Amino acid sequence: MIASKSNPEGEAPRVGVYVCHCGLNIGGTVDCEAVAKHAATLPDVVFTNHQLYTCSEPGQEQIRRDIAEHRLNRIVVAACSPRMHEPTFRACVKAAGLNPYLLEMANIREHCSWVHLHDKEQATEKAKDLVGMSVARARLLKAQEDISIPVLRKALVIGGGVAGIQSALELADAGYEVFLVEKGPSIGGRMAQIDKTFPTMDCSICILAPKMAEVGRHPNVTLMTLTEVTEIGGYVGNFTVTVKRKPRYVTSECAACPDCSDACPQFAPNEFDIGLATRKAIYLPFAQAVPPTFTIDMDLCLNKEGVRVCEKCVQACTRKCIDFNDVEREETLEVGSIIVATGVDTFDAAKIPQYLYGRAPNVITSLEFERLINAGGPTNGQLIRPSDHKIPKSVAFVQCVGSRSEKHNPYCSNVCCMNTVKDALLIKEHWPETEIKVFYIDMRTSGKGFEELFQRAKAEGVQFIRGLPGEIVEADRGNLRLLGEMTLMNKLYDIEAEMVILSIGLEPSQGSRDLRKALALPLTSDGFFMVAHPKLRPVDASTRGIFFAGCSEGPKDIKESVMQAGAAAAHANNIMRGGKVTVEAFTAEVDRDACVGCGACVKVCPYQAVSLDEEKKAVVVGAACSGCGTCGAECPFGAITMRHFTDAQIVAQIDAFSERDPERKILAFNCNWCSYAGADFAGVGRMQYPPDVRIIRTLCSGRVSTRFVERAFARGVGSVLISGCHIGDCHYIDANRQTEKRYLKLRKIMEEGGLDPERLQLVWVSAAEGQRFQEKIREMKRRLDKVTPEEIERSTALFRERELKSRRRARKRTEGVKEKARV
Amino acid sequence: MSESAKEDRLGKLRLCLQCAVCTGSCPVARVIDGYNPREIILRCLLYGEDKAVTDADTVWSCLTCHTCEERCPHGISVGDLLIEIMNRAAAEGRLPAAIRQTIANIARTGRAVPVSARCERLRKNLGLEPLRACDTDAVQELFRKCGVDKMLEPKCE
Amino acid sequence: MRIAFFPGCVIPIRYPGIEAATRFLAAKTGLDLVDMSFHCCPSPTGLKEASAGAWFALALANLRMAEAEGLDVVTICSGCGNTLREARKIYCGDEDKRAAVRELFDGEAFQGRTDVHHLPDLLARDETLDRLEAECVRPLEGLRVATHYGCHYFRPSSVMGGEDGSPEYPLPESMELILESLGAEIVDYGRPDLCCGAALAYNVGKTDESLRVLSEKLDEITRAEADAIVTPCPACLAQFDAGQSALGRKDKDQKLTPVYHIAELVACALGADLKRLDGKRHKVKAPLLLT
Repeated sequence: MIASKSNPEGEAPRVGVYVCHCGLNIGGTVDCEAVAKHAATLPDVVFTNHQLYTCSEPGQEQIRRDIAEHRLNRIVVAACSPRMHEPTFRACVKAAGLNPYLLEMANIREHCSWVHLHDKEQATEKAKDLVGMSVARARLLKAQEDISIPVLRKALVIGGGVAGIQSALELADAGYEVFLVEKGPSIGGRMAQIDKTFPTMDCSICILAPKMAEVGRHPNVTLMTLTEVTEIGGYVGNFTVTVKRKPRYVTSECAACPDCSDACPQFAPNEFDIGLATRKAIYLPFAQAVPPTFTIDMDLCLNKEGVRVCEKCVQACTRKCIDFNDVEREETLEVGSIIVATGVDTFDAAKIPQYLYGRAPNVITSLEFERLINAGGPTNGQLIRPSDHKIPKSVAFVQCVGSRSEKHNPYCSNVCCMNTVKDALLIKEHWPETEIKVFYIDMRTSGKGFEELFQRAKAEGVQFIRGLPGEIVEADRGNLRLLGEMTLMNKLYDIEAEMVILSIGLEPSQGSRDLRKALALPLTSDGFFMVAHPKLRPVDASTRGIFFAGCSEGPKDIKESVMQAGAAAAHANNIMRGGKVTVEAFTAEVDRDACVGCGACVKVCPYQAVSLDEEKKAVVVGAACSGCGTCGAECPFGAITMRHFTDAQIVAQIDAFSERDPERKILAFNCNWCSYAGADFAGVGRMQYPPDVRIIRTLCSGRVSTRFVERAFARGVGSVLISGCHIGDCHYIDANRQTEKRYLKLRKIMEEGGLDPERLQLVWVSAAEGQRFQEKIREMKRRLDKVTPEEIERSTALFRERELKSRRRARKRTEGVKEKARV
Repeated sequence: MSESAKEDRLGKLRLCLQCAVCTGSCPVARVIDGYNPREIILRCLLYGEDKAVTDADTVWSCLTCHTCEERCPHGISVGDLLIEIMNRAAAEGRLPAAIRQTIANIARTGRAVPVSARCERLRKNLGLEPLRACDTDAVQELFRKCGVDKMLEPKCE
Repeated sequence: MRIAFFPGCVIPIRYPGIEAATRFLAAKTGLDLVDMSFHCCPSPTGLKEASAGAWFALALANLRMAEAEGLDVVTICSGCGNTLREARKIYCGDEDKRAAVRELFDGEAFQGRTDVHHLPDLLARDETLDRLEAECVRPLEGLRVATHYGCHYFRPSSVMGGEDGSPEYPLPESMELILESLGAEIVDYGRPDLCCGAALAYNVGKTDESLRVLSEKLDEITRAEADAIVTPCPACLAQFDAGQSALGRKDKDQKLTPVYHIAELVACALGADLKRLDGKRHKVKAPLLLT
């Protein structure tokens, strides 16, 4: 047994190693007994065991007993992926009285037995190496306490559509103070514009208006309309939000009577009616507006730049509530949680010119249809053709306009099929003789009651034709000809209709885009906000304390928006309920003595959690810190320690890896969220690859410092692989950009040193790309086989030299600091 | 076509939703029964490129107007697939007489359209210079290197 | 501006009047046309369908010729414009294709410097429009014109679109700008981007079908009551001209609208000697070209 370095704090490490068979999953390929025997030879290992199912109750019970009996203070479990059972074993050791952060797992299943099924000998050797690396790390693990931070019991909801309204109400009812911010003059959003809802055919505004009124008068809700969020700072429980409050020019004395607008001489298209009707410069957006207060559009009003030329509204107003002296104001809000409910905009159908939107008057969009058919709309519910104001005897719906298209939006907008079914039924209800044809690619009617509504439409005689028109051509009398193919009949069609309704898709809203200027929220490839996990955490943002509700996260109908709003409110409640929240102990710590104030860490932190204080020393806000480790990797002076993923621990893993034949092995750094999960996925899928690779886990690829790679090569490692999330998908927003920079830097060093730069590889692997990981390892093994011993010698020498120089510089610095301290 | 380019094109074809905007826009589909770009893509995906077209002659009716590609929501080019299929047929000597004649003209004179004395006279009357001679050797050399000369030999079916 | 003149195969042999018109208007608008020994472009509807490789090689050979003289190219046939533009784009963008073609040319075929312009693009530039207005002696006042760009002029937009990446979407405007500066009135009609159907006739001999496609086009144009159709492509011109003539023989009531190549109208407006424009070549009487 080699003499070991004892843990300087407290007692010497006493490591217990458990090797799990996992039935035959591991035991069928890896000789677990041999691995346990090998573990017993490692420094500071005082107890080993191998079990059939370590995670089972008896297995865990065994560990607890052993901790007590053998006074174990570090536990290594060699079994499945830590992504699977780390929480299980942490809870287990905690129950035995040990700090849960003193547990380490070696992944000898997903990363070993399952991917080297036909290489039992090599798999066993690899398992031994992995256990050795884990033991090396475990010896340096320290007890950690999660950090507790206070939380403000106030919430901000951004966006006043049905989702924003719903989550505001739920939080307000739960007793929290809620700020509901809406950039328009009234809340209500899209649901206020729709006529009826599916599948119940309820009147949309009728069911929404009571909620709007309730949220408007709720004692816990501060409604802020004509307000936009300009800046968000802070962290979970303690957000500081700056909002810009645009002037309304009308006070709350307003009784919402039309005297002022009747008198106003200026006209403009009314946005609420999609331009199908007009409004005045002083206007109420719609009858049920909340707040029921008029507002003045100063771009349209004749009184600009403080010059008063028209006072017609003032003269007409009996309550004297018009105030031209209103100004824009800025306010700061302090909240504990934020719900983003910024909704959707619609696709601009003019982008598909062959559908003649904007050119032929009787081609309208589905949203325009809602306004026309609405009894409170510009035509009092009469569906009339814009060209001659006649009710059409035949109507054609075209689906998927702007959706399911690489050229426009590649995703399906979710609601358009059902919306058209509902629209068709509405038309039939009022004008049963109307011929209705729906041109579709697929009819998506999957929700509760949806298929039934679809059948109802067909029962009423609505015809569904598979095959979108290639083009729409103007015919006589304002009619339209649709030219296309009925795919199910293999026949071309040339169908005339008196009106065409384009089912336009939904897009991320301008409001969502504007919000990203205030807060860096990552998007998925469809342009909507990305959630923490698409299945298990569908309302949480990656940033703690921020939640999504409604269409800001993706197109959905009212029911799903309301559900998501409720979930978001519940999650916000969880954060704020106890008045405090715990943060996992992975955060960065700055050694003020070593810090020289260069600011490199500040530049790379994706969360702006590091800054330089008045003494030009780096300081980390623990609650904002996500533990990605990018700052720690960036610091050239070793002044930052990443708790639970320290440099020393990682270097110990590298050194353990390099003990046996490093020149024939590949060292891989995988990030917890994407590439490690991707490698797990390869395991689950039994994708086989050469057993020459050993993986070191970090939370983020940004943790991988150039120092680690240099150390590996200095120890004679054959090849190194750095892997992380795809650019744009980084779990820590964009930390992986630093990874890329460092990789390029290292490559340059290798090239300039006359080394083969291909021995260092970078690959982006998502959690679902097991195959990609497999292929990469295969490729690297092929290359490694061609690397000569001379090449290894040269790289070892080069990087050892660099390591020495670096150590000398560090020594000089510490001496310099000591000098300064003495002086 | 290189393997990777073939993979790319297949990948693009696999995006097809069979929405029928291509066939709906195709001027030839309107006038020739059985000419159906959407179906050609489907057959290619289900049965392979070799079986994409049932009638070897119909495929030559493509106008190369590119309307299908322009209007397809995914920008898929049926035309490119058809050109591959036509090229393969031509390599085996199966191509329309008119195109074979045009290629023969180009090989002989460098131009697709034959010149006549009448034409030269007309040009002179309009004050135009006589037609410039082309480097037919260079053209024929390129044809040989690309295997086009073999297409000019009429095949007995 | 010195520029290599690429007249193609059809115009010099079948419609030499258009070539004469082009040379005339070139002199009037500052285009110094340089003749070179170009061979067939080759047509995107002919050789390309038989051998894309040979098509590419021949196109590059043409571009090389122009590049050797340091000149850009101007085409007067949409097919030539399309082929040369696409060949250049493929060559500059596709590493594999470039490598494949290196053998044929014993090295790098082409540096990618030569740009390809179709005639209306050059004429629609601001300076040239000013000149057209200034030098117009036979204004096209009162002429209701329907423009037919033809497929190859602007599709696919990924190849034929503007250099800044924005496609000619939905339709180019070059001929509108030219004709308006010469005093003509532009007539809007339905389905302006519909193909004329030419290739169905001359490639596979399906004349009837070809004329049916043409008829759809003519229906829209006659509905809009245009006096003339103008196109930048001789294939489209032949289709409209010979096609209407054939349709007229079958149906005495078929409305016949004269069709012109843009070069013909511009030359006419700029005062060309009509005898040199060979107006009699048109089957459908083309009054503007007849004395």
